[in-house]
Amino acid sequence: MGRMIGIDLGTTNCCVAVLQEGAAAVIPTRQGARTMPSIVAYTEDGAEIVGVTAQRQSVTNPNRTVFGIKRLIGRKLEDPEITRWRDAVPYEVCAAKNGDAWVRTRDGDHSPQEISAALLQEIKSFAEDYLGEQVTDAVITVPAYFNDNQRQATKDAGAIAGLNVRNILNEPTAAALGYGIDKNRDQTLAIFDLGGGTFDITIMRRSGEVFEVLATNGDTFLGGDDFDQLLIERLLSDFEKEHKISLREDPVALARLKEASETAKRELSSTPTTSINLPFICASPRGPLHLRQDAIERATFEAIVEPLIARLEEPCRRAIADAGLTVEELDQVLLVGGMTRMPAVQRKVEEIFGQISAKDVNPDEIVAVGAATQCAIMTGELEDVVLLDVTPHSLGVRVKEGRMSNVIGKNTTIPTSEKKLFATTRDDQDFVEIMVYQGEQQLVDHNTFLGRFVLGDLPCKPAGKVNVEVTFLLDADGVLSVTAREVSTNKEASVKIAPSGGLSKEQVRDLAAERRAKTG
Amino acid sequence: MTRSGGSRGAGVAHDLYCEIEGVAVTLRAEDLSTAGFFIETSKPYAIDRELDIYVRSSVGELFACGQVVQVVDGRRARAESRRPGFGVLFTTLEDDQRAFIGLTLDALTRARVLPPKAPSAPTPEPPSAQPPPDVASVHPPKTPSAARPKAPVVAQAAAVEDVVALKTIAAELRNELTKLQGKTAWTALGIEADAPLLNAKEAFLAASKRFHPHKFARHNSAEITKLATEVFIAYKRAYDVLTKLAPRASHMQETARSPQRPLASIAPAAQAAAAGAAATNNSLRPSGGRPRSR
Repeated sequence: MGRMIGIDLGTTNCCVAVLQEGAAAVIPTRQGARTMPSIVAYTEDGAEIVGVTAQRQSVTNPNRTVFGIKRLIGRKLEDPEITRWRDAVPYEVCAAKNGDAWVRTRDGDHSPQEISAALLQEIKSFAEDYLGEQVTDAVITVPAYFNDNQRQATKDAGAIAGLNVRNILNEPTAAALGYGIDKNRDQTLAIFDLGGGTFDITIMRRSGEVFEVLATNGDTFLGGDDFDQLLIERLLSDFEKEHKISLREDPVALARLKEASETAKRELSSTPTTSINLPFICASPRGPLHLRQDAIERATFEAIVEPLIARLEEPCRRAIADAGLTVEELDQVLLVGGMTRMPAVQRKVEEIFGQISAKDVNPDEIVAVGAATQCAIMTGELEDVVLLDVTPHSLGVRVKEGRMSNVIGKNTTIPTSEKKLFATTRDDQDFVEIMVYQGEQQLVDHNTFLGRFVLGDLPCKPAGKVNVEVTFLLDADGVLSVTAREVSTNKEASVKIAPSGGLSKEQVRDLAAERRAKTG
Repeated sequence: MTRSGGSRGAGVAHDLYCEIEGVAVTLRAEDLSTAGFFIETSKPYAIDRELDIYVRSSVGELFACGQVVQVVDGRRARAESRRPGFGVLFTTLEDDQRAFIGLTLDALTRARVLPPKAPSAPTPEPPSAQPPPDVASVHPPKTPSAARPKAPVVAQAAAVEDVVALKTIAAELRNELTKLQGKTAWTALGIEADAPLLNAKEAFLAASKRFHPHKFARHNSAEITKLATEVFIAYKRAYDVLTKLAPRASHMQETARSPQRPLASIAPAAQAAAAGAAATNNSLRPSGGRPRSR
């Protein structure tokens, strides 16, 4: 086994770290930066470019510059959030055969797994140069609220990039590990993680060397990009009012607006006003037009994004309640993710938690540092530290009338195993179909489908007289296996739940081989 | 699997003395754990053979019985490019005997850490570079265990990426599992029946540190991960019984009265099994004697 690295594969930026002689070190990119933009672009001659180089050419090549791929990974095109995202980005989002959301460029269709793999391969390569040894294994972080499909797709991206993904770690959990390893204290932490694309809140208790997640909640479609998007909307409609011209169909103008809005948003975190100046944004019969706003005030921007900030509260309240705690029992709030630099977000945090957050945290790097810490736990380097994580969603089976019967509740410490007994619903029923779902809704149709299997040859008995015991085993990496057993005959059927969509094992293998061949 | 050459301090062999059936043999610290050991030899005992074992180290001595559970004869050794010899599992080992082995390994590890760190060269050392072994051996040792000086006993054996070493870890986990099976939640966690819940928590967290599957990730063994998962879950269950289920006894009675929802089938229609039956069938371990349902 070569070296194992910790990777924060973010919606907008990636960060990579290793533990060297007990201290975490962030690995710099080829350009010497401590984070790498999560951007992959395809050039005119079909070459793939990644990171800051891809970012630099994004304005001139908007249709083939893919950012925010983490929003698409493991999702279906029909998801309402995807539909909104699709309308907002200059690149084309299409449906794969199985309904997954993919990206279409002139070079063909790309799965989000392949695009993420391009990022991971670049990371692997600069990490190897820096460390001077082969990198074979990785811990990759994902939002705590990612479902099974999204996790598996992230794992597949690693495999395509030639990395053995040893653990998919939740980002807020990683942040707590990254924060606390050198602080040997017993404390209860809230980790408030607002990144480029997702929002997570995790309540965690540290007892000596044991890090125990108590509850987690969040919103997988609430992040910095949404703040940018609202600002872009405002600029677009102001421009329309003024010039009666829509820029919505112009990908180059949209790409320039996106970049300018992001910069303006960042500036407004430290200054009360900023300006946006985009000369020659489009042509009109009367000559070229410019988009210019001289005084965008912080207060105006905060008013625009108020609906987003309001959405932060509910998940926090739920997580605290699920942990069986009150706000007063929390010792510390950690702010993670670039968006927590925004004063309005910090005010909201204070309002919810009633206390000032820990200041000694670098919100861009702490997750990667935590991932590196988890690597050290798994290699045995940190022999006393252990992390007890939870499953963020309930897992259950479909029962009559399409209802969900939970077998493993959300926020259960993993690994775990639970059994539940079910009965047949009609006379002489000779088989049952076990359909497995993930989510909190009462009706399975509103939850995420994970997999199905059949237990057949049941004994002929009246309805309700045949008992089927269903066992869910959720391992430490969140992989679910389901077994069903007919109680009187002990006949069994089982399945290791492979996510419904995504890429097949063969596809992943072929893509990995292709990528290896390309890079020689 | 790559084999890296490493140091086996020349003194180590002398710090550990072993006799099997009254005959002196070479037992290496890397090949010893609290579950059993591996003896490298070209003339292994037959499988299932019961053996009298004597071990002496700087910490003391041990008389024990063991059984041959694995035989690697010359042909198998060549075919699988590993060392010839035989693996022995201790049949019964008292707590103080286990402690003796743990202390012995600790002492030997410390002895090995003191001299300058061994080079972990990627190429195997030539056999001549090693001290002449008592029993024929031409294979270089594996991963130098000096690389993980503080590893606990369970991890110690794993430094040797050897089938037997993995087997002994698996055997320890299996022992742990058997040990847990007959116990109540209280005895599993080793606390008094009237102990405060805080003690249960401490016991569970201590067990987590030892048995969480990630603690065994480096072995890359599906079997060990599975066993560790089972042991962890057994402790977690005991902890849940004490902390979650017991205080909610009234809640439990309530759920026992409500009917269990039946599993949807292809055909529609009716009737639910009584949750009473469900509850008895749901109890996984006899230990707590309490039904589990969510």
